[in-house]
Amino acid sequence: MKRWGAPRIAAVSVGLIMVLLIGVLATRRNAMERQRSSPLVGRVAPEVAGPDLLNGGRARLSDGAGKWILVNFFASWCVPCAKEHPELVKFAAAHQASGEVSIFAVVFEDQPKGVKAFFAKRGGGWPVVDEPRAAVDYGVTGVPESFLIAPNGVVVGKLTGGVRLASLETTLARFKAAYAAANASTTVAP
Amino acid sequence: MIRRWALPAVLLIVIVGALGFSARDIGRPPTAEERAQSIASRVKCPVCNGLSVQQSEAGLARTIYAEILRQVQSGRSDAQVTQYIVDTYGREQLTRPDASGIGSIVWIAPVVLVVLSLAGLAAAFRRWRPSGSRTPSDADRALVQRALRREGGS
Amino acid sequence: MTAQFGIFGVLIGFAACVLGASGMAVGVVRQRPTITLFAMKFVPYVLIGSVVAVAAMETALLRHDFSLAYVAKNNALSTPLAYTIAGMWSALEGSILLWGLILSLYITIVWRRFKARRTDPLVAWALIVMLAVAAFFFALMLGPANPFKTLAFPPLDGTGPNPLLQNHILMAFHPPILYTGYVGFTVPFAFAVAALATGRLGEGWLLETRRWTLIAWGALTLGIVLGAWWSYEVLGWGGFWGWDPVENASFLPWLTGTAYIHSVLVQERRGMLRVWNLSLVCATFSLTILGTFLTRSGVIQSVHAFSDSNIGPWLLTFFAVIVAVSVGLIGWRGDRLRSPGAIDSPLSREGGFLANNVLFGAFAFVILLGTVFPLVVEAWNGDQLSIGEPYFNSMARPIGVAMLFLMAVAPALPWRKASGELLRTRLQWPMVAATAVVVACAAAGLRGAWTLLTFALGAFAGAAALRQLVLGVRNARRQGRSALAGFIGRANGGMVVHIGVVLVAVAIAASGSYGSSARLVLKPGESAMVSGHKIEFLGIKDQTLAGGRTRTVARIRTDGDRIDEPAITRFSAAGTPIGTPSVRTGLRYDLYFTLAKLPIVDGGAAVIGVKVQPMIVWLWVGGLIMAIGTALAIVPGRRTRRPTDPSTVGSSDDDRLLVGAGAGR
Repeated sequence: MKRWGAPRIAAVSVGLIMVLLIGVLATRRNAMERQRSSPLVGRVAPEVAGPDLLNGGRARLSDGAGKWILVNFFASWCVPCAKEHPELVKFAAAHQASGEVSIFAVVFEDQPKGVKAFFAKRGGGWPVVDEPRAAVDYGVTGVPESFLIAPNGVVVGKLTGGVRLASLETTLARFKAAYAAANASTTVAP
Repeated sequence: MIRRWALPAVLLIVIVGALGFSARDIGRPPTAEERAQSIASRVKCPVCNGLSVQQSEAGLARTIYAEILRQVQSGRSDAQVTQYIVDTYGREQLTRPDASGIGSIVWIAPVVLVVLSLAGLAAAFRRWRPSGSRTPSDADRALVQRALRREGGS
Repeated sequence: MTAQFGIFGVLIGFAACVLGASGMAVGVVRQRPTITLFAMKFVPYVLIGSVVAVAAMETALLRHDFSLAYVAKNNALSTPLAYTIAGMWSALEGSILLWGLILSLYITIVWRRFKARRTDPLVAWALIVMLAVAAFFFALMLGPANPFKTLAFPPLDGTGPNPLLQNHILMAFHPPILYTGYVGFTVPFAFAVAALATGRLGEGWLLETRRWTLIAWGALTLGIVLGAWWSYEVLGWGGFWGWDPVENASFLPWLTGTAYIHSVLVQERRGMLRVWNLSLVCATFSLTILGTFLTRSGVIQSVHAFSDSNIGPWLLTFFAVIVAVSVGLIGWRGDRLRSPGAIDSPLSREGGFLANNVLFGAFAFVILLGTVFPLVVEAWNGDQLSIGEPYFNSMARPIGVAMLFLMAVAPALPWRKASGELLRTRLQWPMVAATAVVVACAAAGLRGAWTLLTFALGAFAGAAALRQLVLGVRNARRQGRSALAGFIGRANGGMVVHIGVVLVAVAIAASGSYGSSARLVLKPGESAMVSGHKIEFLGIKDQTLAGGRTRTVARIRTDGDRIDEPAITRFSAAGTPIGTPSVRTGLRYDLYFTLAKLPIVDGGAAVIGVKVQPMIVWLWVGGLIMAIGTALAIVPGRRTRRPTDPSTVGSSDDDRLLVGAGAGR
């Protein structure tokens, strides 16, 4: 007296697997919208060093150690970069007095001539380094992309797409508070 | 009997020998370019659709390839270079899943499936094993002869 | 105006599907043939509806009627005629329209062919299922994939089709042929469901759909090969298959369909594997829908970026319904389907088909797993991982080699039980061929055991198939028929297909192992050597083409005489530049040129990609031979066996040899 033959058992198990698969597929977001977190966050920022196109000589990211640094990957041919640029100029100006935040730009697939014209037209005077491998070190996939680096040299956040002054300030304030809290706890702990 | 099977046996030995000969070492370690190409073929180009860094001509892909090549030339091992890509672009940039961890499922599951289905088939054949006499009776032979004659005649 | 016409057509089609299907269902369930027959009168209106809709769309395209959103997006005043016509299947909404048209054609042909048997519940149920599927696609056109959306403010000129889709004339053929295959599997699926619903689970439904399945399979094969060819000629990376989700989506039903057309022979001959065959048919159809979902919903990144629509949930729901219906029916009827037969020996034709099914099933599993696994992992623990070409290639290699081996041995196996002696005589010459090939290759210094193994097994399988064809021709001659008869019919046509497969396998292995590529950085007038060819860069030339296209061409001279012109084309002033490779096809290898990077300054160095791709042309030839073989298999042989005939009085050469061997002992 067999009530459940092999076909029925197979049908039920295939059905169950299919229910799971459909469940998974139904709950997936669109591949384009999927936010990817950078594996760099939480780790020490890779060094960037290369010729400074704007100010001449060589510039190194580690020169700004001990301060908050916004590493900004950009290109003169990129429209969102041009849109973002005035916001960065304002951001730099707002923090110039305190000197605790600086911007460090890295050129992405661009010619020096275009970069110089870009800055001549749109202002800004921070270091602009031309070093192609930096984009790979930071896992850059497109421009603009920015990384916020804490005074201890650790990457705390990645900002994809053009930044706006207001949101940049709130992000910075949030990370600053978290950083202060973390440092306080580590200094108290021992 | 043995004479009849001699030819296939010799052919089989020749085939295996030729295959073994073709699998011999190329006699030199791979060049840095070859190693870099092989690593790059397992890295997804971040700005392309469905191409590897090795296949793509996109600017960023060439930059990533140049960095892979530079690291290989500076003496880093394949595993170290691959880990570098994981550290910068993330695990999802590698198109070949690891043989350990959760990715190993895609390597093991098909093998398990094949083994299970072969086992299932073996069990079925055991169940199907003919019971009783299967040697043709004289009546069967007569039937066959008649059928053959009909075939030949038409 | 055309938009209204189009919508009108879609509405007619939808209404005819719904009325026809529900009417027939009522008639069949209540056993009132008059109602069934009346409801069947709606069937031709399904075709009329979709023809009206397609005619409306083509009229709008030809008139460049940019008040239709679809036309504005996929056509421009400057689009050439061929691409204007093909514009109907160059984006999501239009491709659903094409799907609807092909499905209605199939439905109407089925309806015509079964004219005499329309009251038969099996036919009625099959038509109900097909109409239900068609109703779904018409509903898509009324809902999320409406091709006839209008714009309140039509633009003066459209944006034109995706540049990649108007770069090669293959684009005009590949989608309709592929869809003919894709959609064609609806017919066997519908008959399978009908068989389950009516409980008439014998071999009847198999016979009805045999030819339909072969037509669908052949079209799918041709469509896949044309897609690979398009990808090779247009995309510029020098490859033809990247295991992209959209390619996998077409390959999955091909695999299960191939498994089915083999294992169905066991059921015809022995009355066994009924559940399995029904499952394969249902799986094939479900996979076409799943593949469409995966590539059209945007959950997976793919070359075909059709992701800007909310068609996803609809397709997924439809997939769920199909799976539920198939699994439910098979679970319900499954125990009735059990057949008492037995397979005597694993070393038999039946055993060969079973092994074939294990391999094809495993291959399909690998591809489905590799395609959806990243999504499953993401759902499981949020990790992101990718599975791509390296994984699929390393899995496909052992499976493909095993398939080639089986392809050589299985046709030599007789039904029921093989003796070692029989195999030895039948496989002797194929084995000699394999040895000759592998020895010649090894002596020529070719390396790579996998590749040489593929060549050897290719020769083995090719020779085995040739042997069968020679026997077939001889048989036909002996019976006083033309030699051509030896190529016709399912078994012989199948051997022709096998030869095509061998060519494809050898071409894939050769191009994967012995290709080489170089990136040449050359200034005008400079030259370089690549694989024994002198490649000379003559210079850059700008061309203005019809339709506002501009093209920068690199003139390249190979070996002092032949000129190749790979280019970078811009389809509009602001558009993204598209590389256009130049392919020099040869019997032994192709030379594939791309213009990778333009010189930055005038007279500066350009980057030119040169690829040597061995034996690629045999891939396309093999695909063509597979299609021809399928066509030969579809043509009915003179003596068509009925599956109800006792199988022991088989008239094929196999059985005679076996019986002879048994009797002579």
